[in-house]
Amino acid sequence: MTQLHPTEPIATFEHEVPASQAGRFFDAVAWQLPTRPASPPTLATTFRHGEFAALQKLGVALQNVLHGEQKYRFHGELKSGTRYRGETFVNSHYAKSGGSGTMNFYVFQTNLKDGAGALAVECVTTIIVRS
Amino acid sequence: MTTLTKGSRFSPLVKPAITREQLKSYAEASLDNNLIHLDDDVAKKAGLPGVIAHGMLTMAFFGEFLHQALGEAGGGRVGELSCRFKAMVFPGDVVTVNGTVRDAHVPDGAERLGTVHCDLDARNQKGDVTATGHATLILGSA
Repeated sequence: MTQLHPTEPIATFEHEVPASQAGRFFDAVAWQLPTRPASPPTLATTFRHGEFAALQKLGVALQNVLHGEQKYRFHGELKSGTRYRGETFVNSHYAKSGGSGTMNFYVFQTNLKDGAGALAVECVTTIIVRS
Repeated sequence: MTTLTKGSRFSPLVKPAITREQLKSYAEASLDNNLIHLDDDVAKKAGLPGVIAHGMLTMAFFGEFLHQALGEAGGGRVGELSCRFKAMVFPGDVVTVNGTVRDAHVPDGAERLGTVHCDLDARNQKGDVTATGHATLILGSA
């Protein structure tokens, strides 16, 4: 298993949301308000590359994970057509035992920065791995 | 809603019944193509009764709810949003989002900048809570 270094990113990536992506996202959510913001708040979920890469490094199969909790702190609005750089960290890792076995919890934090280095969104994801 | 005080409730958001086609569209739009949301066989092998909705689809409903709430509050932006996934959501489920003000700091006077913290929940048609959450709205900064 990959050794965890909390202060070093476990994965980095760059991603740009295509201009059409926000519209497709609104449609998929069946957004029913008469007005649409520039992007839906949870469009940030399209920046999970770091988490998926981290899970792969940790040897965890996607089919065995549950998404326990998600948090976003917005410093600005994600803009389609803008390239963002993401750094994913493992904030914490702990295990809980119960009647259905042991579950491992990973808390990932991904910081998304724009081309100028300004922090746009902090994404904190709790992933539960069933074993 | 004319005043924002502890216990104030925003208008609920009632979503149309979730469809399998919607899960396919959401998978494509969100880049989350985990097959437990798309393929019954894979879902069953993972111990599920069949495909389940992405938890993040419910969180997207929270996001829509917050924009509806911001409209009722006079405008602003979402500062923070969290969601804890409590129960599975299936095709056919009708999800309703409710939100209650936990505390509000809305300064008096012409400059109406403020912060509103609210508690959120999503329920299915049976009234079961499928997700809970919290949000911070920044008023007047849109």
